[in-house]
Amino acid sequence: MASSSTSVVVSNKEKENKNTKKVTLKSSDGESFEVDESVAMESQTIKHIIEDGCANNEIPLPNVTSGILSRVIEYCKKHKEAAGESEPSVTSYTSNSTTNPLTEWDTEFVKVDQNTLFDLILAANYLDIKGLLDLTCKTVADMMKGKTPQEIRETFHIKNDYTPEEEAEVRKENQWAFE
Amino acid sequence: MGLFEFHSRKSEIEERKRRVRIELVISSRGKGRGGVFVARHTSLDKKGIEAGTSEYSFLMENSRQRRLSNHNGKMQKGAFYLPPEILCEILSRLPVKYILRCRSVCKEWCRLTLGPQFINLQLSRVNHQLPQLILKSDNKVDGQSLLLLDTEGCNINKIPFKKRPSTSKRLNCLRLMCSCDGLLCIAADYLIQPVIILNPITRESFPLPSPKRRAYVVSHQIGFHLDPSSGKYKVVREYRNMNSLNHDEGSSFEIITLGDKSWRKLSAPPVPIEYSLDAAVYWNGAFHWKIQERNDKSGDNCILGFNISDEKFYTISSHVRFGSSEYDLLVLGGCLSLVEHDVHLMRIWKVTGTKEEGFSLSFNCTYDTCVRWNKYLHYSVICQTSVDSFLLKVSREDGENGANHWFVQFFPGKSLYSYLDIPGLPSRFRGVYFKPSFVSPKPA
Repeated sequence: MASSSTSVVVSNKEKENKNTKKVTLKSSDGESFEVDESVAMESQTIKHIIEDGCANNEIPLPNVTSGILSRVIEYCKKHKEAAGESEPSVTSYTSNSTTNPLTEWDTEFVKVDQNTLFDLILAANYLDIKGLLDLTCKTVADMMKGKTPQEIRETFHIKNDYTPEEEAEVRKENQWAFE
Repeated sequence: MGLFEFHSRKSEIEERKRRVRIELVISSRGKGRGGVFVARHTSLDKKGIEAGTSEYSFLMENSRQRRLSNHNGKMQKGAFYLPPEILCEILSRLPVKYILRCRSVCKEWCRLTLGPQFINLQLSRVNHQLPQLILKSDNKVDGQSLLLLDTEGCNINKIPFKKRPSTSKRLNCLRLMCSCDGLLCIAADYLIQPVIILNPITRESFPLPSPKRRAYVVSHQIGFHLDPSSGKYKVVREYRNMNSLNHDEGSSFEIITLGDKSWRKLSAPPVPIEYSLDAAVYWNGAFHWKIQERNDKSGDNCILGFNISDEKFYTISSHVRFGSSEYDLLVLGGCLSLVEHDVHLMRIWKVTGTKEEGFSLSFNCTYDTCVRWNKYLHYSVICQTSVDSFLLKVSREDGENGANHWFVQFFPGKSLYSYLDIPGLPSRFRGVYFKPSFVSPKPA
């Protein structure tokens, strides 16, 4: 038994060294994350840096903190794995879905506090990761659905800069949308 | 602010007249020189115009030894710090109703949703969603407003016409002809003017030029779509005249590009048009109408096509005689299709082929609707809502009361009908496919 387990460990290591090229991503607070190059290339920004040859294997990301970067990497890893396994999605008739097998995982992924969600959006935008930007923006949009303007202001801490008369006028113009 | 100099990666901050708030998110290594940090620059204008937030990342340069204050870097907790482009991304994903509500949140949000970047983004998104329907009630009283029907949520929103009495009176008598990109084309059945392009969401309207003489016609049918080759909207119409001897003069075709001063007459199509056309269906760069030939010997049913870019007619024939003369022309699953109503059977034919090699109709499949439809109870297919369901509009003649209309979902695989209970649905209506947007009908 013991001997077979050792041999398994050895062969895994061999596999790792053979196939995967790694890059190191450095967060704004100085933490380094080593990831497979293919996973990192889920970000178009990083992809261009690597392709332009500017990588030097360590890519600084001054706009992304370590907490957010680790989550982003988790997202990219998961989606890269899934993309490798599934077939290209079939266009469906209904509105949103190209059938996404990771829907449940994605839903759990975005169950975070608002600041983290916003930071994920900013990171997805800066790193140009379309799937993550779509997911996070849709999540915020869903938070807005069904809320009154006042509820939206409270949820997202937005200051109301309308005078009562101005607000009444804007509302009157679009009255049907409130019914 | 003003404690240290920095070079931003974007252009210099202009207009120091504007109040500026800079928040710093400082890296934990930021002591002394050489820290890397991000500044969020929010410019606030008292009038609420031109507010915006941008992010800069930069290295701190200071000639003097300075200890950076080490606040833990986060902005004041809870403030909304997403930049305008991202807010556009988020709001453009909302249904139009909620976008309108968001205009009441604050001036920045209102200003953002009125801008061209947002309008284009929202339009590109809505083109990938299931279309909604815009209905107009046939009843005189209800005809004052348009109804936006969301078939998924089964709810209706009444959108009133703009308040100006002259506009709403005119619009009241007109019929919905077709829609494209959130713009509706409405016109009269028996008059060739007015023809109005209207965005019901923004309430902006643009009347098309009309001939001076008031011309009554027997029938009037309009197709309206964006010409992808020119980026402009074109309107094609067909009408039939009766001359002074009450003889049918046949169909006339006219076209106009939005922004032109007058309509242009089109030369006659390659086949005679025996009867008034039904609504145009846009597919693959062309408008299509079904042509019913009732007293024909050749037996070919065909579709008349009109290419929007080169403005040429063509025909698509089937080489098989249909069982019945009642059928719907619409786009199902990306293909131009004919749905033949043969008593209880629903036969679907699809157009296959290419522009270069020619199109033809080929039989696709048959469904048994399990209902014996007749002239008192009939249906039309509105769209295919999923791989195994269709949305139908059912019409029942009620004797003196006229017709009664409603919607059902038909599941052919299970031989199942599901009645859509939509509060506020008028008893009689006509509708068109609609994708709500904020596009302006006025030509650029």
